[in-house]
Amino acid sequence: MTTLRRQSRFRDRRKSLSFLATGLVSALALTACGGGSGSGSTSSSGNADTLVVDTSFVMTSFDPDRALTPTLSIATRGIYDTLLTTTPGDSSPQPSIAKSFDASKDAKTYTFHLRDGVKFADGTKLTSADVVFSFQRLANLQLGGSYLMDGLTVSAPDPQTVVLTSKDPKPAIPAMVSTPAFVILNSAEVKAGGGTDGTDAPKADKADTWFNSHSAGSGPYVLSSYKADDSITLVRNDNYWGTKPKFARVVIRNMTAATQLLNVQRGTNEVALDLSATQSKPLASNKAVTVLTDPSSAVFRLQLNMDPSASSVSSNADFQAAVRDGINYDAMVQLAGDGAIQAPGLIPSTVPGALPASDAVKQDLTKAKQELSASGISSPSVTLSYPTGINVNGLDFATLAARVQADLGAMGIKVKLQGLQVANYLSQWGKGKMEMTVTYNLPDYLDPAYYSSFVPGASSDAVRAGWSKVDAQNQKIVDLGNQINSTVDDAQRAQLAQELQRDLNASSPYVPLMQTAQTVVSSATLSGVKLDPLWTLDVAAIGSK
Amino acid sequence: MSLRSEASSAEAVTAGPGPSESRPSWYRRPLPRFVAGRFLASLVILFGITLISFMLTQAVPADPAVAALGQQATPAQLANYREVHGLDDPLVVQYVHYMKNLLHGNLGVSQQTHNSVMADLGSFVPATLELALLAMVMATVIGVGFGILAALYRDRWPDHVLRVVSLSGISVPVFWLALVLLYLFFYVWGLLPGGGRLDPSMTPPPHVTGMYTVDALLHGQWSVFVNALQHVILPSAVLAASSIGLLTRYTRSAVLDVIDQDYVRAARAQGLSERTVVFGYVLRAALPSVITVIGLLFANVLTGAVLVENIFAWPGIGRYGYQAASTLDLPAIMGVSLFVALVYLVVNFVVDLLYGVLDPRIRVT
Amino acid sequence: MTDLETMPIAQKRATLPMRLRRRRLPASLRRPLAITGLVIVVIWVIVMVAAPLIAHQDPINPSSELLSAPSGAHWFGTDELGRDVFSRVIHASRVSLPLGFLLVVIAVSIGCLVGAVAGFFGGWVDSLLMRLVDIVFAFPAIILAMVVTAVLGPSLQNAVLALALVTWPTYARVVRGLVLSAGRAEYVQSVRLLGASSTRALRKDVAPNVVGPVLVLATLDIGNAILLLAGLSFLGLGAQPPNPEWGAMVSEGTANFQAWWIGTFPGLAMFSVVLAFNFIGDSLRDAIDPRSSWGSGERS
Repeated sequence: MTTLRRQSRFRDRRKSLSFLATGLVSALALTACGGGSGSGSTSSSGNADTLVVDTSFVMTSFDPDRALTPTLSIATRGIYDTLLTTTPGDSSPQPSIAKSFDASKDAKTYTFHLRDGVKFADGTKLTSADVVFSFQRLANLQLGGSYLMDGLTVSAPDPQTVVLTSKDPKPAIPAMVSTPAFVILNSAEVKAGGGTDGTDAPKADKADTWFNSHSAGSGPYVLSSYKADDSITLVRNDNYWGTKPKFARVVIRNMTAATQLLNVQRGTNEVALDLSATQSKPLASNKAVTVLTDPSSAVFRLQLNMDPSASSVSSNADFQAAVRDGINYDAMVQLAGDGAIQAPGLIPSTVPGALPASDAVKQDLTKAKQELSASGISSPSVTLSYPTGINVNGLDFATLAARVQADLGAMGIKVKLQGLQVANYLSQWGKGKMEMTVTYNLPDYLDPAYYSSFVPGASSDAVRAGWSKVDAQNQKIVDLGNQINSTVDDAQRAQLAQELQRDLNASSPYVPLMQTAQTVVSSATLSGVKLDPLWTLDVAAIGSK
Repeated sequence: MSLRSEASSAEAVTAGPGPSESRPSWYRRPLPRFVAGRFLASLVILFGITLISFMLTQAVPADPAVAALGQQATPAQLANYREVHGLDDPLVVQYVHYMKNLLHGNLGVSQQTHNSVMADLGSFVPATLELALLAMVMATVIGVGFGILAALYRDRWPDHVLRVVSLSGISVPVFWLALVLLYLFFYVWGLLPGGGRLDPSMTPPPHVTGMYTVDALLHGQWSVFVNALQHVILPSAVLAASSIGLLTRYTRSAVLDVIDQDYVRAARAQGLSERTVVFGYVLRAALPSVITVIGLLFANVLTGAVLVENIFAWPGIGRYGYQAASTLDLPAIMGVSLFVALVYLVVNFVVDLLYGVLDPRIRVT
Repeated sequence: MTDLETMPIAQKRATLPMRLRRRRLPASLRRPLAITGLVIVVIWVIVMVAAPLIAHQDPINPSSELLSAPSGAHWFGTDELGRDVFSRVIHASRVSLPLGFLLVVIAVSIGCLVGAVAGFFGGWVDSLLMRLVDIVFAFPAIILAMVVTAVLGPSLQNAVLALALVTWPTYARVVRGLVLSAGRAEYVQSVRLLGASSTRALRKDVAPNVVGPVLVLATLDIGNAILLLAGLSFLGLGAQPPNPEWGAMVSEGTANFQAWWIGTFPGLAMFSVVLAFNFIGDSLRDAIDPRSSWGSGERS
């Protein structure tokens, strides 16, 4: 057989080669053609009119009342306005749609006076009715952000005035109305799109999908197109009441960090949001880009469980103390990269009431070992859960968990690691039975009152730590939480928050680890690129040099 | 991914590819009966896929309500969400409800994008199709060329070189190749763009097919066409890599199969030029086998786009499916699975039909 | 391979399938391609076993030198956390090779069982099992694997399970086809007519005909299994940090494109292993089907 084959080979070899080559050459020509003609204009971003923001995102909803994700908040900042606003580096609310506001002495009634002549992008006038509609819709949808409206009622005595009243004193209201959840929607448009602010909103509101192709705001930009998982395109709003932004078009693209790193170096007018401090370090010498490292508001913590039915080990107060004293915080901070700091308490430095660095817990192995033996648990073993599939400021939870495992292992505590896919993780987390977990928190609004949700008996965070029972031991912490919620004076509230954190550091299921930094890398031609603790980025403030 | 493409074609060596189980019989049976039989079998398969994906996603210990509402949600809000979305209904009821909608052409609303899954597929499928088609064109041209070359030079150095090249194409990790090419062509040399379908400053062409290159040509937007083509070259080249390897191998085998047949030798003895012999006889006779492989590969390229689309930020169903699976977005997972299965079944069906049309021996019988 | 030459005839008959008995296996494995493949695989196996001796530096605990380029101290450089990349590449072989092998073993076991049952019993059992095979075939493999890892939690073990669930049908089909054709062969029919039991027929006459093709397929698949596992790890669904795994390392490398060495070397390691298995598998396939004539058996 083989010999036969050999004989039958082709006589004219060149010929056979040449026609085969034709096919190959045409294939190569296609590649070369694309490459050749493109060499002049292949910068991944566009011309002078377009600003490109690269970030990796998973969108949940484009409806600002439904879901809060960092990417959404960039677009939301561009499209919508809020009553008050904060600027990066200054957490005190400034006038925006409301030109001023009055607070009652008891911090139960806040009256906002609206600016004249504000129009939505479609030309209709923004009135107090729109504000009422937006806030009531937020409350009645009963979704992620609805808790912010708990105990609040909104009313409009006249078209230019909005009144927010609270059952209990709520000095955090000005901070709250500066956040993405409290954006002001064009009520007529949203209603036409199927939205409602009635109490039947969870079922009757059908505007969810409508928001994927429409925007209903008064901000500097309007939504031009949204491709799920891919890109959001904003174009300038010609009816904008304030200063017109520099860029006519903003494209927010979904890119992995790896691609962002390449893009920002080759692009023009480009911002990359997800680079870790280490990734952007070599860029410092690159003249084409500006690297900015700002503290993010994300505080990572180790959380144990106070509920003895969830774990007899992690609910043991001495064991908790041993864990707290056994962690190598310096190594943790090093893992988080440049710009990260040890978190002295639960409150990040971007929020009033953060603890000074001197209050941070130090690793003390001798003390930790004593505490461990005081706990009376012989050969302790715990399961440490962590979310997988997400990373925060370039930081992976599995790496943190492994670090905790090593630290505690050195003390004789056996730690079993359990990575849970993030959707699974959240479900488990919600049940409040996790023995031990590495997690993080980003505040929904920049006020110490937000952190009262960590004290026992509070409805959300404390429940996840199995800390729902109020007893004699934690009574002081509970009282502090209540006081923070109701104290009107800002300075006093911040002081109470510090006291609360010191108490929590002494005895609680929370072990604050570190506050990460967020790095923003942008083309050097851009000006005004600043990290915003609430909105991530204000694209309207970005200009060119 | 390559495992099944390789395996299914490797299997072809030993037992004949799956869809071909009916192949020997189709020309014996009347065509309508064959089509009807295939259709019914396909329905069973699609039904099975809905059942499996439904059971799988139900087995996930994640609560969609918590996933949707976030960490701060109160129990009352969670209960409310569950009620609105029918999550508390018995599983059977939920499944029947889903199937009812499916029969009306409604795949539900993606929990992640908040679009109807149908609309999502409509926007993502053309992107993947554009990628896959170009990849298949590349793979076919290069792979078939290599295969013929290798066959003609059987057991001599071009054959050996091509063998190593084609095996390398199968062996290289797709995601690694993608990154290496991206690094070189985009970052180091700046020859090709670095991800996405079009430069952000460009406006996509008016929607006709959803494939930017085609639409741009249809509207005579030359610069958009060039830009879109530049974007699609790298990812499709990566996708083509493993297909090239397999196509080389099968084209080689198929050509070797016919090259010594009497009629080919007779043609050559009659003094026909080598070009005529190869194109007129050898390639033609080898075509059915090659088409079968191309069909199998096409179905696999479509599903294998997950890694490539993620790296190149390509908004196709691969990335959509990945996002859906990682957020446990049930309607989207079901939608993607059903779509991919449908493509797989249709492609196999077409391949089987073509096979009969193209294979002279079968036609003679 | 010399073992095959010296092995007693009876034993050889039992281990080698019919078509391979013509001594094609040693011949085909003596080709340069196969030898190259075997040598690479043997080297990797040695590296795997002796990993701690070859790579002295700790693959998990970081040193203080972050992102340093390849040098005498760190042959492949260090990564973002200061871990020695060479050491991680070497230690990762202890993960990828055994698990790739395990994945194939599981897939082959399930596939052989299902295929043999379907082929041997026929009838409705066959129809039912083959429809199941069709369904799994039509299912987008990686999506299915991703959902399964989401259910079980992301880890390498679960990734192996998930991939086994989507890869077994290939073997089921092959084995079924082989069992059917072997069962129809005249000598098997005659043996059964002579009163031999079904299990005896299956064991003595059918099994040897199945083993060969399945072995080839399995060898070819080890490379692919390693790639698939690495792919899942690349997506964050397999190996979890800080453990070294090639796919995960490439993914870590993408975070630092300037430090090209972090992702390049694990990629090359993977490539060399998979290529070696494909060299061997390809040569083996020649042995089983010397004319390399795909589909010819079916049509003739």
